[in-house]
Amino acid sequence: MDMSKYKSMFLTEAREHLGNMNQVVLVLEKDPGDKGNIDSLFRSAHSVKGMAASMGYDGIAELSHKMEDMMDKFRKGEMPITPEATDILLEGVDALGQMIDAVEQDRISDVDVSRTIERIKGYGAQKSVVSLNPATEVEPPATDYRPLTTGFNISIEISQDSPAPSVRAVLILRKLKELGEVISTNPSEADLKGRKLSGPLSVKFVSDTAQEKIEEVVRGMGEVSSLKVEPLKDEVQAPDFRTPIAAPQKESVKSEAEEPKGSRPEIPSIGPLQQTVKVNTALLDYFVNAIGELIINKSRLHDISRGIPSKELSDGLNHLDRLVRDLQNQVMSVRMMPMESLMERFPRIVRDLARKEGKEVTLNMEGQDIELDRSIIEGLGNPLIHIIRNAVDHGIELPDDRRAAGKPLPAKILIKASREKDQVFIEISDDGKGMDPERLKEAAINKGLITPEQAAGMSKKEALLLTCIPGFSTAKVVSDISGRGVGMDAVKSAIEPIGGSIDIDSRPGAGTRITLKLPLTVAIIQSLLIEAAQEIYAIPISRVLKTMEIDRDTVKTSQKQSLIDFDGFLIPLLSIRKIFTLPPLAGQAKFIPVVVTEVKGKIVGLVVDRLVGQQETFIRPLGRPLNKIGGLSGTTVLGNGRTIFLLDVGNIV
Amino acid sequence: MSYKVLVVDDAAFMRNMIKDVFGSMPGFTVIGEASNGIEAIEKYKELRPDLVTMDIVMPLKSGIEAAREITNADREARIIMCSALGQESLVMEAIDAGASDFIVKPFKAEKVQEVVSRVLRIK
Repeated sequence: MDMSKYKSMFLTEAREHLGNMNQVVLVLEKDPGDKGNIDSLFRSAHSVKGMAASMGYDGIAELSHKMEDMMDKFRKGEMPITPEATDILLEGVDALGQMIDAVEQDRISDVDVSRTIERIKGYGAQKSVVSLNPATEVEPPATDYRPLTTGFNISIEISQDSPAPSVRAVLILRKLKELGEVISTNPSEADLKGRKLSGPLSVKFVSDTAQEKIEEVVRGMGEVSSLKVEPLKDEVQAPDFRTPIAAPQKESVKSEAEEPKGSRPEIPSIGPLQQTVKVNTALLDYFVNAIGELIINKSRLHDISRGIPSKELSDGLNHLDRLVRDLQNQVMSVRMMPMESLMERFPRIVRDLARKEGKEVTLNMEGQDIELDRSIIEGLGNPLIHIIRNAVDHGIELPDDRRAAGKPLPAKILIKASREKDQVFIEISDDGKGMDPERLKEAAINKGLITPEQAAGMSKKEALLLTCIPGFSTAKVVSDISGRGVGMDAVKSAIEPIGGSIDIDSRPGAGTRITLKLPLTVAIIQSLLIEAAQEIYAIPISRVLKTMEIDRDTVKTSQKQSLIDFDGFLIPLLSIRKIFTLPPLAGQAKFIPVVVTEVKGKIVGLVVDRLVGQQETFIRPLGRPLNKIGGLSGTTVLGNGRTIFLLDVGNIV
Repeated sequence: MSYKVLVVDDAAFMRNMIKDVFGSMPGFTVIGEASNGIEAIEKYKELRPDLVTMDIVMPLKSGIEAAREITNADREARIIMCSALGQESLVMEAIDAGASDFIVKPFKAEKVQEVVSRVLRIK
């Protein structure tokens, strides 16, 4: 994985926090009672710690952790803020600054933080003013709970009699990636795939999973003859993850000694000017709109140029195409944010919820580096928290119940983001009690949401999606029988406006998996244009499974419903004209144009008059009162100036 | 509820052996067999098994291609490749194509059980 991208973010943000700490320490020195500033100081140290730990900069994480502890004591009034304390804090801030500089320059820091850490410890021992009463210390400071991401050196030997040692090695790596982040391997993954593995496999690995658990999981993969999992406990130096991991510890110390000391300036200098700047997000939105307008105007020019035979004009237009596309790609990439920015909150949320409910849960996350447009990231926060809350509150059983059912403790929740072409999948799965489709159907019938006949015709998937119908899951009773699904309608209605869809899979007793499917970006999307009754409509390409022209003779009929064969499955045919209550198309063509898509969780064929083509479209949201019309989700302007509707196919019926 | 298994191998002998192994494991039912990659894909769509055992070298369409097409269509498909000794690079290709794990002929029942429970994450 490319850590360099995170590195620059880390540098920028960590320096902001150091700047803040510097200022605040000085204010506090004058006014030690200022609670707001103490909190701000604490938060900065806390943030630096979290970021450094995630990046594997253990030295920085360690020192900021100690400083955070000290500030926590200030915060609770357990230690007074004296000039000596501000001295120590400033010394710490300076040391952090030097270590961060070293990170930027890709060298091993030679800052000795042990002295600062000793001073912090010494101050704590000497100045603690409150004797802690163990009886009242039921809740240890929250910081102790935050699972600190730890770096591990893992050395694995595959047993001699393994028929395919390198395949086993690749499978072990795949498994490790479920638990954390594989920073590097020796031999590299590419080498593993190319030739036989001889000798051990070393892995540099970052995870919040406990060492014993990692050992258990790797051994569980089979054919492991020897295994060593060692946490990187390098308290003084920030380890550089790019140094080859095969090099034993001693050698890296030697190479550090060989590094010319004179290369580092002795006098503290003003840090290099930062390579990144913060931009108001409104400006980013403006850029997207401006590019959207550019695209519309560009297609308009193309339309006009069709009537004008000029090579210069078409050359110029083609050049304009490229420029606009480049610009669009750049602006879109600026708007991209890693899932990390959302997911970093989850471990804490899961921990707090689990504690509150008295449940034992471990959370694993994957795909934090997957990027999405910031508007989508923003829209995802609440739905994801909702799903996670459901998983802990209603999915995961109490420890006793799990033991009784013979299920392992702690329970597991996995949040996994992955990308396929221009779509992102986010999976939230748990190994809790799952949902029973039959009981969901019963509940829906009892509430009068569906008829028993409808229920009988429902697939398992459709039954599970009942949880997304408004009014289904408001009652506590439902949460008890379903084990999940409280307020899923809220999740669905939050996901769909940003172009997402939801899929639920569940096995009673085994757990539930909710998959959110999301577009990478909004606003400018590829659309399929279709025609029905002289009107053109756009359908987001991401919602189109396939387009085809089917022979009228191959259409089957069952209970008045027309069906066609799609990849071996019979799917119903729906007519756009019928849905929009337009008169049927005159005449009977032999071939019927069909768009295969998903409507309310069901794969269907939409019959249209004509498939017009694919086009890049800039989507504008619908204003009132049009936004109240189901099945439409926006408008766009075609090259000829005509405004057309974007179909929200998922809700078209 | 038992796990549904689809057994894919061009040799009827191997299919029978694998069926016997699953027959001896409680909680597993072999619900279908296929003797080549194309048939494997068709049977997968039709039967939606929880687990597939897939031979690598088969007529019409190889197990690797079949594994690729099945996992492309169903990201949750669990496929265990069955290879002969010395097919390491083919197995690697299959794992890249989306297969979950592998076993090597001749099979031992314990080995099959171990791999199967790992792939299905049964404790």
